[in-house]
Amino acid sequence: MPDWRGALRRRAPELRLDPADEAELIEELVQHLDAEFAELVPRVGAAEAERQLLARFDARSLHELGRTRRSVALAPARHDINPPGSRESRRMRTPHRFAPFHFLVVVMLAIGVGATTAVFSVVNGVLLRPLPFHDPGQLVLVGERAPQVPGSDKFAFFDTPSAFLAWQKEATDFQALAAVQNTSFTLTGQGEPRVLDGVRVTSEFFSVLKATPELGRVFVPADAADGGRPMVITDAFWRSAFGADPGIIGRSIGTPGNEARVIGVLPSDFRIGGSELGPMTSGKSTEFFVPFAFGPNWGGNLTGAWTNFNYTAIGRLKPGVTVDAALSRLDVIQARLAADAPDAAPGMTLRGQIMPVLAYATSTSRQELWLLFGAVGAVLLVISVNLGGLWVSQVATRRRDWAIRIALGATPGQLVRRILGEGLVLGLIGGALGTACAALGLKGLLALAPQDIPRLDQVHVDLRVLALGLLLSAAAGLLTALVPALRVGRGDPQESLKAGSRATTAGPAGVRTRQGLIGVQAALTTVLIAVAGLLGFSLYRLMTRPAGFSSDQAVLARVVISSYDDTQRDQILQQITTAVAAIPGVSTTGLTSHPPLEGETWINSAGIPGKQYPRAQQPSVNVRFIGGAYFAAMQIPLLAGRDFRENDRPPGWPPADDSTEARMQQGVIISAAAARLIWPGRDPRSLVGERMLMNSVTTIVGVAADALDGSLTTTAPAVVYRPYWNADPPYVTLVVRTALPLGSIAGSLRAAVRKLAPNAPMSDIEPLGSLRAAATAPQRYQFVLLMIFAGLTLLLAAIGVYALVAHSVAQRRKELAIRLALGAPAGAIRWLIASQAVTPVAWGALAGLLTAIAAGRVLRSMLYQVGPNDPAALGAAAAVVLLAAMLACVLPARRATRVDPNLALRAE
Amino acid sequence: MLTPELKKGSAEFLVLSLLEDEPRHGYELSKLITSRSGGVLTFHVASLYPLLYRMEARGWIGGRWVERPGERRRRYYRITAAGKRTLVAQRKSWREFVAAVAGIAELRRA
Repeated sequence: MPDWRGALRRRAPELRLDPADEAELIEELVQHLDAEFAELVPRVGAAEAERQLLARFDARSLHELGRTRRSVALAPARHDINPPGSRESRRMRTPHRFAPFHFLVVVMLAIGVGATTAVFSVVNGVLLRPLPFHDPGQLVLVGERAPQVPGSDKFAFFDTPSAFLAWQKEATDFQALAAVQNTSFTLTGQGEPRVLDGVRVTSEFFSVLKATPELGRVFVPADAADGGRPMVITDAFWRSAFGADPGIIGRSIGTPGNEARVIGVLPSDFRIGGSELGPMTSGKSTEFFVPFAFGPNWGGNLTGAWTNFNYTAIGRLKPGVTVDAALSRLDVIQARLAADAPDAAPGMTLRGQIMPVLAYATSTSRQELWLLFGAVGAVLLVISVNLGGLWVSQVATRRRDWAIRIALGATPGQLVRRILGEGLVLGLIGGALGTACAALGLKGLLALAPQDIPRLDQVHVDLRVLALGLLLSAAAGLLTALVPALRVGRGDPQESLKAGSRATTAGPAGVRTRQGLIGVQAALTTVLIAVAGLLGFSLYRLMTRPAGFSSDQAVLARVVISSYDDTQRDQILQQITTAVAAIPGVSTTGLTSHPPLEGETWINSAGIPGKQYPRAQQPSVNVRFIGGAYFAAMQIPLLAGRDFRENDRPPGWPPADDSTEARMQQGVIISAAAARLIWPGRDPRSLVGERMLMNSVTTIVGVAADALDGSLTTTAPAVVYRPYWNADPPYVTLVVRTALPLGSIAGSLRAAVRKLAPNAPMSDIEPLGSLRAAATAPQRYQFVLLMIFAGLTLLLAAIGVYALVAHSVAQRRKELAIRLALGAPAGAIRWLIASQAVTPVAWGALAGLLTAIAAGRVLRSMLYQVGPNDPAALGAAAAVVLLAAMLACVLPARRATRVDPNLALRAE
Repeated sequence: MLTPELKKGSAEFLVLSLLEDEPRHGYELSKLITSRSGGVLTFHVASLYPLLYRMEARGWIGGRWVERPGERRRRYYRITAAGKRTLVAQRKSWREFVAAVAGIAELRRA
């Protein structure tokens, strides 16, 4: 007989039928062809008979046959010869129907791809998207480094005028260099007075950025000397404050005596988010620019400008010049500057520092964001692996189908491709849904995000995000299908068919594969929980670290009085604490130029009078100007001496002469850390009455306990407190201690300030505790997101464990019955069942721990007082994963002990 | 030889008639159609089974694999209740049709 099967298969390899149906169809045809062939051969000969019989079979007619056959399977079971419940009607009708399992795959992949894409949009917008300037890759920050000065690495890109001027003259690698410094401006006459964040720039600034104005012009060198204070504003500010009025050019804004004249408006795509221009700028979006120039007093003389690290240089490298090449030549200039300085310490060196602007702007968030991306990627991976495990069990129940297909001539390769194709399609559907949902998730991410992540306004779903979404969808779909596909490809059709005649169970290999997948999930989950746990421990330590001041029952209000002149400011500061203290319910009021936890700033050198310090070892301290009862209001204890008193100040302002000014500078209070820094080894309390060199010689009147002035993660810095009348700072923060709730104090506090300083912008009034909350916002953000991701993976892993164990109990009922009948104790049965999942989970958790330990290096910089290998956090993570796995086993294990032992006696 | 239209229209009727008394398998059906029609009607294997499956999908006939001792298993088709009703209706309309055609043909011949 001819090989009809082969001949038909060649014409149409695949009829898109249930394999069993297809097998029967072919069998029926083969029988028929055999019979006809037998009849025809005597008349026409074998070759001609075969030709005639096969002549009418082509791909089209065979597919038509398949189609009509399918319609039989789809038709409602009306035939009275196949009553409902018969094998015919029970058979799975169409293998291509969108089964609930497919729905599950699509939804889970949508969640995974959606979350990953949303996090990636943030990574993309913040870290990857180029700066909105012409040829942004050439833009760099230029700074100096004094390696011998302790702690100088904390102050990267704080430059002195002398260095800047030298670079401008000698550094040939830059097309242009500009110096910038932060500033602010008080806008009045439009409702509440408002503080604008701005930057002072040298005239080269806009040519460095290659920015041209939308309206008017940008700065020329002469503008720096213009008493009319020319100002260039951003498009956003122009629109929000002036309704995009084209007549703005030439108009004066601000209060009398504190005015500026708008000369240009920048285009709408010119945006500076706050961190691009170095450490000096405010961190908020820049709204305006004003010009400045280093006068003849600056430059040339390193001594005069040595401590004035108050500028940042931004430059544009010439095309083709690399950062490294420019840096090596900058180092040469720096070395010469140090050598030229007449009083430089022997061996003193100065170095340069160059960093692409984008790298600087994103440096604070880069690690954190990549960590989040890694975590959400792990979630997607767990989802894929989890679904892969479920799919393996699906494949196991359909093993007979696959075996029949192989028996019918399908190659294992075709089946593998088929399952992978199914995975790819499901992945793409899920991914499309997920990417659509990513926009939604992104809203949530941005709403939760702390304010100090730079460039959040750049976060959108763009082409790159969509491309990654597509890639992830395809990858996740393929990955999900990979393990089941390999299982099918490896399956032995003979074995399956033999087994399939009686049962369609997953063989031991199927269970082993699923156990392996469970192990992978456990490992990833352990890593995520360990990282979340470490961040949580770290956050807890930050939240509970004693700050040195008491946050309870106190509120803060920031007041900007920069639009007042010195005399007016002095008056306002004299009266403001008295006025606020008079508000009913207020117990104490103080003010400070810089509230704690907002970073080290206003740093001056200090020392013992007459002592010669080598340049590099001159102590530096944070200077704070305070007034009212600041220490009482903050509840920072005074260890010795006393607080400032209003009658410490000589009468009159401005100082009548140099001697009055000197008397004005009399008296400082130092922190214990400052005492230890300048007088190491001496009891800080013994220093009251001691003389100390600040700008001039002054006397210590008090020693205060340390408070965390710089940040929550560093040790308390050395602080020197001076009375407010030493500087009459242009901005102050009021600290008001009151038992009243915030809501009822805010109105009267605002009114009291408004009465004294009607043109002073005032911030929201916040509880003192908000300082710590703001300082820990990035850590909380990370922790919350990681907890969500870790929780999700834990849930998925537990579901995976449950599915595996429940399935195995169902499969092994008979065996369990025999064991029970033979008297196996329930505990042994429970362990027998649970160990199938708990063992791979334990191995997975171990692998996860090792991974977490190996990855600890990356985490170190994000942790406070917790080692990246903290045994408690790692141990807890493994314990949580194991516990979850055991809990997931409880129900199926209990079911295993309730199998009816009589089952053992029943025949198959 | 019949035109394809006529053949298609009559085929279902023929199959139902042949199954009226006993279940038969596909090859048997094709042999019977050929012999009973005196060779006027023949069904190639490639068009017989789509016909049978269509009829099965409509619920007129049902196919079932039957194993008989000493024989290889075969798929037997048997008529269903719905098929019997269809056969009765078709038989009636065929009779009317044949009568009508005969009447017209008589007239022509006259």
